[in-house]
Amino acid sequence: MSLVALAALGPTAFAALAWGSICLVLAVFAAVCWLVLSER
Amino acid sequence: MVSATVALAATAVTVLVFTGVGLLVSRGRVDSVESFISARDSAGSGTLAATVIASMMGVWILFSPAEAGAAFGGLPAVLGYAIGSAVPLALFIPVGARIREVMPAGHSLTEFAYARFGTGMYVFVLAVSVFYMFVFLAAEMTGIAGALAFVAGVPHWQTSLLVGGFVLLYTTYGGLLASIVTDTVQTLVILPLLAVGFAGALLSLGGAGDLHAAAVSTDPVLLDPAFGPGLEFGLYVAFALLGANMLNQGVWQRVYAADGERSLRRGMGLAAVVVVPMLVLSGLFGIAAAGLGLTESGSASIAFFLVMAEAFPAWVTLAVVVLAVLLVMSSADTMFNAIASVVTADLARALDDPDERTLWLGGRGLTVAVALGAIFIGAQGYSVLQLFLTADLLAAGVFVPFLAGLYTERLTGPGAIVAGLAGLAVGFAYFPTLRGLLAAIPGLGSVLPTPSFLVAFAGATLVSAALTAAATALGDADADLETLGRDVRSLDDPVTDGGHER
Repeated sequence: MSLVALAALGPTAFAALAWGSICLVLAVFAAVCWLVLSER
Repeated sequence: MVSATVALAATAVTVLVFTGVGLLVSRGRVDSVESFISARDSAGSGTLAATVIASMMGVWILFSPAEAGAAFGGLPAVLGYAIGSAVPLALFIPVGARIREVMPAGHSLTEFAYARFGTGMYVFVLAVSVFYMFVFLAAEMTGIAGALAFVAGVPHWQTSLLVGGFVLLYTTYGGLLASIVTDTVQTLVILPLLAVGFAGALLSLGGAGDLHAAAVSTDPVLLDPAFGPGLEFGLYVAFALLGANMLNQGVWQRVYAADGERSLRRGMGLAAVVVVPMLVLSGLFGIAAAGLGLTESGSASIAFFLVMAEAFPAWVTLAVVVLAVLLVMSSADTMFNAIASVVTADLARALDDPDERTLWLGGRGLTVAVALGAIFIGAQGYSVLQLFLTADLLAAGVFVPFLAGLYTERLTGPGAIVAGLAGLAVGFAYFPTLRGLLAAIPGLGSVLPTPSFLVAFAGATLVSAALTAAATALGDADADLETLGRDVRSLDDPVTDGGHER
């Protein structure tokens, strides 16, 4: 995510940042769950 | 506001559950000092990712990024915080692999400092590392005590004693193993709780569009990624976090805990990826708080909690309490064991082959001492920000010459110390936090430059790096990195034949 692209952070970019972060946290949660369970 | 009794009950249930987990999983499995401070080659990539996330992401993530978003420069400050937290973890992928290669039987960063550079650099690294970790720990206890005081009016000492006491119980019993297992479970609760909590708050406050409009109308620079003060904050925080985390023994212990290089790569990589959105979310709470006008009374440090109170009914506060307690437990157990492990590993050398019982007493006694100190400080409600910044600056000056020792055989101990001290001299000359103290020294006040956190942190790092490069070019230490690990041995079977690794 470059500074140029963010220079005019509009409502869509703000929403993408917020919801994208939420989705990324959940995706890593799913990945960690899967990896931990597959270690057993 | 929920009552103090209900908040304390939620805290007590949380700490009891995880204390039980910690005691159960370590029962019968921690039978030596080695297994108390080391979990060598035991963690797969999922466990490693989870324990690193839990260890690094303390209750501070509910305070500092939100405060940065609300008061220190909006979006660029938040992004700097987030990226700056991820960089050290990503850096631990190559550095961690090198640590395991150079010193495969090692336990601590100070062991490496001593074996590679000798006594002077060892003392330097020991002091900076332990100071940083203890301040981190004290800040965590202060943070959780402050959080519960805000959401439910719980007296500081009650929170500090309850949380610190139970974490002490399972950490003293189960050591690093208990820490890693509880960290893993805690991460699997923390991640969805944070994501769902923020999604709920976002929807409850009218959606991303409404929050964006509020922020723009209140202060447009909150969302300007090129806002100068925000960029400066983001940059200096990135430098501060880099040095401090590279000297974090808790991460070094986890580097050794990985069951191979593949797990190290994937575990650290996943942790580095997830800390960015975690801190961005927390930072967006701060921007939301400022946009909604919740931080006008100078309460930016609790911006996260102000937004939660605005978005949710009081009973949801209990979920925040659980989240905060999990965050602090998972970091505190890491720091308890990390500080104890640094000294315990060194005791084995300093006492010249002590027996197992002496090391046991040393390891557990130190855990208790560290915990009591942190509980006491947490109960006072001090501001530890200045100590934190000072610890970060010390680390910024030391970590480059220290880590350079992993890669070059030419750098000498005195060369590394001079590089570190020169970096610190530049750093302290520009450091705003201790300006009053330095200016009071006769003759010094008039020659000190204009204070700047960015110049202080970047200067300490870059000057020490430049002098490390010069000292390496000029040095002739002729250290043999191939045989360095021979001086470090397992602690569960003390050797008497000169200290060679088995």
